[in-house]
This record gives sequence, structure tokens and C-alpha cells, in this order.
Amino acid sequence: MRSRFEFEPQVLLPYIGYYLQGLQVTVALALAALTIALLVGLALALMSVSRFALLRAFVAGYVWIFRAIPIYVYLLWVYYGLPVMVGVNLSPVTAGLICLGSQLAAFQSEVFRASLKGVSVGQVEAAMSVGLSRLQTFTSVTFPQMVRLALPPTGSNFVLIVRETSLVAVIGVFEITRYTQLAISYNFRAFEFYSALAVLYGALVMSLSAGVSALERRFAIRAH
Amino acid sequence: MSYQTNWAEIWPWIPLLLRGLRTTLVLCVVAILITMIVALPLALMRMSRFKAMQFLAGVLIATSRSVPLYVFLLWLFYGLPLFVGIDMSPVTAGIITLVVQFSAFQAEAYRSGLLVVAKGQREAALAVGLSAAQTFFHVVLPQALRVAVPPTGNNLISMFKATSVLAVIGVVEVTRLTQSLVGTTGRPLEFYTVLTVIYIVGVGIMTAGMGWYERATRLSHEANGRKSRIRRQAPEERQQAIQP
Repeated sequence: MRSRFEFEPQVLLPYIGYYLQGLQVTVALALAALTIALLVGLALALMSVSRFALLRAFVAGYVWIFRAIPIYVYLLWVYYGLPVMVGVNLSPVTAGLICLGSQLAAFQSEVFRASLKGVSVGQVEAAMSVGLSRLQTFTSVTFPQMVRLALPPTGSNFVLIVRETSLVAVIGVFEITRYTQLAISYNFRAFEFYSALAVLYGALVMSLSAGVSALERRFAIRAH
Repeated sequence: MSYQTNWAEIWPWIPLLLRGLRTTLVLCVVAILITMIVALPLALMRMSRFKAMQFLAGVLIATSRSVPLYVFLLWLFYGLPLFVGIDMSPVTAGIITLVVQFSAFQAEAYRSGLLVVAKGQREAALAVGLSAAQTFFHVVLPQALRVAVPPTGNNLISMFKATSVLAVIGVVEVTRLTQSLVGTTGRPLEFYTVLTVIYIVGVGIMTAGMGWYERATRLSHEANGRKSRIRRQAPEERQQAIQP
């Protein structure tokens, strides 16, 4: 017979520090994945506007495939499948970062590509005609304008990846979800602990989303 | 000892994997149908004149958008039953999770559909004597649903991918089945690769199907490229809309 369940949120109190620590790991993971995605995504975006059809096709394929694979399946493949092929064992954190970073890179490359196209051709032509080299044109004319356009959607991608980090718990990365599971295995207060976890994610994601909206307003390009 | 890949070991298991895929698809279809029903009142509440309704819908949508699917699933399957005292089967918990997670996106799809139905249509319907309910069900809704088809297709694709996470609570769909096969055969590389290919092909077929459907149902004035009041999503935009 089921014993009566008492809701005791006070069992959470001793774990506040523990939760904050887990939250820190989650945010650090998301930031690391974002960093990878920014670098790889920029390279992919530049490849996608290249003269060489092969490079463009590679980027199109990369983006397509990473859109189609569920992140959970990709994690399983990288953590359990890949090591037997290459003969190198990956730590959970490495595997998690590879997955989150390479998948986010696909989305981020689309953001960069769109913002690259958003910089008007006139700007590039003007820069070239005053004698800037191709590299100078990119670094001091195209890139700064592109960053401004890319900032709000990059923020949305960051919010997305914060939510996705919860899944790396399944391969044993100690972020907030895994911390919670561990705590529950000691005290069996699944309702209190999972509720707290959901509330924490909700608060984190909502405040990040609010930040992204603020970014959008701040960087909106107004008609003159 | 180095690992020798043996792809031939997969063949005997293909029929089983396909059965797993069928479970995945059935889960998706059931979940999207419930989502489509649940999301309509949500969209109407969001567009309601009453502030309280708007607020309630806003809270529901924000919650389902900000709590990760995996966390919601854990809470629903392991946490909530302790509180309410009712045990749920993994399948029930999985379907509820999918519905809750996707109804926000689906409500957005309806809302964008409802917003593009020209005001004149409503006014004309009311002018010829249709009641408010008749106007909504016979004039506004059919047109709105038509516009909502592409985003609904996107939701279905995202859901197809999201069902993989249900494996963690023991729903025996294609991912869970693959995990047990890896346990039985000790061939993680081969089976997880096949699983990945199954998802890629599945998404590919669904995407192609959506493209075909859109071309087939395009109205003549849209095909002519004249500016339509019903704005269709460009294929590029549609791609963008697919959530991971």
C-alpha cells in the first residue's frame, strides 16, 4: 500500500548551494558550446558564400544533417558509438560539448549566413572602391555590421542550448539535472527536487529570453 | 584488443527496428492530434479580449517553452505521481510531455493563421447574417487552418525527433529498442549509426512530403506570384523554423 505523501519543500533548503553549483556547470556548458558554435558557425557561414560549389554543398549537408538528428541520438552515437571506431574514450563532458557545439554550429551558421547577406552589397563595394583589401573589407566593414544583425538570433540560440544541456545528464555530465537525480537517489524526494529543477530552468530560460528581447530592441535597426 | 566493425550483424534486426519506428510514428501522430486540439483554445485565449485569459495563456505558453523536455518528462514521470498518488505508464507520460511541450508552438501556428484571415471576411460573414460562432467555424477557422498547415508540419517533424528522449523513461520506441539491441549485441557503433540514419531519412521524407503538399495545395493566385493576403512561408523560412 502506498504511504501518504507529504509535500515537504523544506527538504530542499540544505541543497540550495548544491543547486547553485549545478546551475553554474549548466551555464558554463552552454557558454562553452556557444563559443564552439560561434567559431565553427562563422567558418561554415563563410564557406557557404564561397565561390567553390563543393564547400557550399558541404555546409548545406552539414546543416541539413544536424537539423535532422535528435540531440539525444547524437549524444548516444558520440559517447557510445564513436569511441569504438576511433579507439579513443571521450569523457562525458567532452562528448557533451562536441554534440552541443557541433549541433549549435549548424544553427549558428544559418544565423551568420543570413546576417552576412543582410549587409548591403553597396557597403562592400564602397569599401573596395576606397582601396580596402578583401580582408580589410571583411574585418572592418562587413563583420561589425554582421555582428549587430546576428546578435538577437544568437541570443535565442543560447537560450535553446541552455535547455538542451539538460540532456547531457544521460551520459553522466554533472550539470544541474544530473545533480538533481543524484540528490533524489539519496533522499527519494523526487517531487520536490524535480519541481525545483523545473522552476530553476523556467526562471533561467525566462530571464535569458527577456535579455534577448532587450537585445533585440537595443539593436533594432530603425528606418531613417 | 581493437574493435572490429561488423555491419552485417544489423540485418537480422532490421524488422525489429522498423517496428520500433512504427511505435515512434504512432506516438507522434497521437501526440500531434492531441496537440492540435489542445492548442486551439490556447490560441483563442491568447487572442482573447479578456486580460485574465491572455495572462493565463501567456503563462502556460511561457512555461512549456522554458522548461526543457527532458526535465518536464522526469518531473511528470518520477515527481508528480508521488504528489497526486497516481502512477502513469511511460507511454502516457511521454504523450502528455510531447503535448505540453508542443502546444505552445502549435498555438503560435494557429495564432499566425487566425491573424492573416482578412477582416473583410469576418465582416462579410456577419453582414450576411451568420452568428459569431458560425462565422468562426465556417469562415475564419477553415482559412486559418490552411495557413497553419506548414508550421504544424514543422511541429510534427520536431516531435518525431523529440520522441527519442522518451527512451529515458522506458518508452520502447526506436531509440530505446536500439539501446537494448546495443546491450544484446555489444555493437554500439553499428546500431547507433543505423539509428541516426533512420532519423535522418525520416526527417528527409517528412520534409519532402511537406514540400509536396504545399505545392499541391497552392492556390492559383499564390502560384502566379501575385501578392497574396495569405502569406505563405518561403521554403527557406520553413527550414529555419524546424526546431532541434
